[in-house]
Amino acid sequence: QDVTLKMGHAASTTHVFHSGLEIFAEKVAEKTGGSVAVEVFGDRQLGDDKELLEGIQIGLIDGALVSSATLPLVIGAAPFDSLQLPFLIGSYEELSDLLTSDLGDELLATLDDKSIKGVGFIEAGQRHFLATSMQVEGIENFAGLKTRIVPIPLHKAIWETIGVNPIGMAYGEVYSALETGTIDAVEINMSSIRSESLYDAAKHVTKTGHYFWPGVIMISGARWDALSDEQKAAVAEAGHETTAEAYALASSLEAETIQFLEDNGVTVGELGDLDKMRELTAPIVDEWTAKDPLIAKITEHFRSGS
Amino acid sequence: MLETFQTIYRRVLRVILIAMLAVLLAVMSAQVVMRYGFNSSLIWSEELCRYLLIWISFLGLIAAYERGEVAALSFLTRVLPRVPAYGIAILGRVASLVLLVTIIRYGWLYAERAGGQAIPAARFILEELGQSGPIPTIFWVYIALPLGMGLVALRILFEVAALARGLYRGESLAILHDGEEGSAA
Amino acid sequence: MIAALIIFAVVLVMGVPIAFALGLASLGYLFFNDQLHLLIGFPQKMIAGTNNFVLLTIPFFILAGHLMSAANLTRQIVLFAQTLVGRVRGGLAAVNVTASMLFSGVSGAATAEASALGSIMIPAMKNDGYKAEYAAALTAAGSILGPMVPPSLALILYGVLTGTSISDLFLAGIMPAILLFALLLAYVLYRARRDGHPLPPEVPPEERKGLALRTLPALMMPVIIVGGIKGGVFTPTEAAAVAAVYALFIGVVVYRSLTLSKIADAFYATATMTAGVMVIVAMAGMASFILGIENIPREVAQGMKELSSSPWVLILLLNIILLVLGLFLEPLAALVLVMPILNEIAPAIGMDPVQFGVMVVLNLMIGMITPPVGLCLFIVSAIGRTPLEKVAREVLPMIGLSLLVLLLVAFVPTLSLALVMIFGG
Ligand code: NA
Ligand code: NA
Repeated sequence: QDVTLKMGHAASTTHVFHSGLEIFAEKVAEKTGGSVAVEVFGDRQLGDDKELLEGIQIGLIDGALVSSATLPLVIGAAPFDSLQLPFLIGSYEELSDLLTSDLGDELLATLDDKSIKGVGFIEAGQRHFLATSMQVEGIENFAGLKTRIVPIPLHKAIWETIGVNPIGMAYGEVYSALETGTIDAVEINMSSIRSESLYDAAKHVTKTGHYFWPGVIMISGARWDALSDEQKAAVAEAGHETTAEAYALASSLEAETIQFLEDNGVTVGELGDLDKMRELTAPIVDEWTAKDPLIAKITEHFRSGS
Repeated sequence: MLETFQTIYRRVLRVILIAMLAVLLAVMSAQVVMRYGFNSSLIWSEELCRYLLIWISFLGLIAAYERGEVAALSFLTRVLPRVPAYGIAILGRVASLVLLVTIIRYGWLYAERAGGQAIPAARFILEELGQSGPIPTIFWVYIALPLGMGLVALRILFEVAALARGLYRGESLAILHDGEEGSAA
Repeated sequence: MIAALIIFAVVLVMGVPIAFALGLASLGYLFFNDQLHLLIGFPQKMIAGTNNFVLLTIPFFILAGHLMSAANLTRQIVLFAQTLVGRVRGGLAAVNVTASMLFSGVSGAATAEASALGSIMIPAMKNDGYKAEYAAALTAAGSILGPMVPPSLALILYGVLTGTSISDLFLAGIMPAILLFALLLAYVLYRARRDGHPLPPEVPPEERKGLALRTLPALMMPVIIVGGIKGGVFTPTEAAAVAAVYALFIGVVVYRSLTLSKIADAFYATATMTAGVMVIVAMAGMASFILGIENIPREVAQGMKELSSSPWVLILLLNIILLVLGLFLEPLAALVLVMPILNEIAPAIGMDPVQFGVMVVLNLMIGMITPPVGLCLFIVSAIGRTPLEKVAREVLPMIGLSLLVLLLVAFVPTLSLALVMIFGG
């Protein structure tokens, strides 16, 4: 039987989340011989991350791409914090390899008891530091900078340790807050600096790459259960392939976006003492590792691998 | 008896709404002062303010309704003869009740099903106060909707009863328009 | 979709509140399209519709307006306008329009402007021999100046929904507002000659003394708001709270006319008025979810693009759609509803986003004074104790003038962008 899955995400239709979901849609159509169609809704048309998650759980929407950062806080899926432990993961490739391995499946499986079937990942891009009035070159430059962060416990812990003054602020207000100097900085990925035109308001990027920003492709448990076994297998395979392609895409976009930003007058520099920042935040990795066995497993995977 | 109850309930509602708005104003001002004046920040303020707005919006609805501040057109019941005007006034309220009862039922279901997560802001606030213990869940935010709609539904139910009585007793519809729109100022 | 529209129109005419009519239309849609399993989304989308930080500007700007009125500031502004206008035929009508312009720097919403000024100007004009419906219509028309001049709820919401600079939007609304003010003033003077309107009463000399100085703190409000945002002291949303605190401050300290009980009344009135607006926004949350999931915005935008590729035609079409929506909907709810369409169509039009925003907001504000559902019309007809139908007839020529300004905003970029070029960037 033919099924249409309407899937939403909270980013704009020019965002890499949108292209990622479209890759997923193509692969699903191809592998199911067209019996499962995925329709992609951007621009928050089906809701923001929190609404999407709830919508899936209460059976309102079929599926979504949701930032992994919201999962621990909103639905108590603690292990997803492992993907954003500071400086734990070295590169897009390493993360992609993990997410397409059994450990990735194990991580997705933690959503099963929440009526969510996780099938893959799409990457928004490694996070860096964008400041308005100064080029952050050393760790001491962070001190006291009013920095917009996503108000979740892990990020709060990280940025307080680094020494900024973390500000919680609605995402929609970030552009104008940077422009007017209400805040000094934001921790963010290159693609968003470009797609949200933040480079008009702030010109100093420091490539800290403190953590990545994966989104999880998820389908509502009820819709998933209604699929035939062949369809399930096909969608799962589409999810794995999408993950690999999306990470390759994000990785290649990074260099291209940096070029675009530099062409638009943005200084993209390095943090001289990145090691210090890494050292400073290492205790947070330990603290979170102790919180959950799966986080411990994933930490172990990266520490032994690198 | 009923009147004393109504007086008390209105007064309590008024105090609650004023208090919530005052807290809202205080928190938002404090955020500006802390950030600009002391380069420090209340990381939970944005979220807390949104939740207060939800409560004010849905709990305040009954008061807005009673004060005639919920915008509606009323020309038809003004121009129609008595009996059809009564009929339409009653029918319109029954339609509203259908909607409200649906929202109350599903609003409760929603609060129950999706309300399990801890409120992030509450976690941060407790942390800052150095307290630990059970963190209130988002249920306490979501419940504002069915509660607020329930109060309005009750009020409309009483109106329907009053209208039916008025229709039966042959009273004019003037009572209906008293207060309606009139206090919008 | 047709069934939903019919339900909406029928229950609306029956006197069901707009918010509930919107909800019943959504309910009807789910019922007739066999989508009742989406009912669980109803509460979610209602709460999500209100769960938006930017909407906090609603209570705060309303509160600022209420506090200003409670502090008798509206009366000051009216007196000040009276000294500015002087003794000409139809003077009080001209005062009404002038006070609207001055008050627009204090109020963030047209409804606040209509109720605050209406409660003073309409009785005063009636006393002076004007027809109640003329006084009411004029107040309603003047009220749309409110959201065109900072502070402005609608411009902030547009800015946040589209990522457009809010301080630029604030600057861009000023010139069109002044133009509309001038046109309304001219109309008032023409009507005064035609209908033989009276000379205004004189401002008593003892009231004149220090009047400008006493009104000044209130007139500083837009300067503080724009300055504070531009200076990075607060965000546009926080600016609303700052405006309320400022109103509290000048009411208590400068005018010394705010008592504790007046403040409590203002807070309570703010909470209820907020609820009245937010319930519409909440119901619009569900309606826009249905529109979204049914792909309506994309289809409408696609249809428009197929109809014509000329930006001029697209602009006209878009304005017509907005005006029709504005006939029935509260502007903030309408903004939430049409944003997805606007996002699809704006690139094809290629208009500057700031100019585009002023156009959209002015358009929706005109909807506030058009029947059948114009919140400002409701308010003034209630204050004037005069039937809506009569006010609606009086307001028609003024709607014509507003449409003229709208056309100029749409096709003359300089009108909105000149100030942005001078002060912005
Ligand atoms: Na204004
Ligand atoms: Na209208």
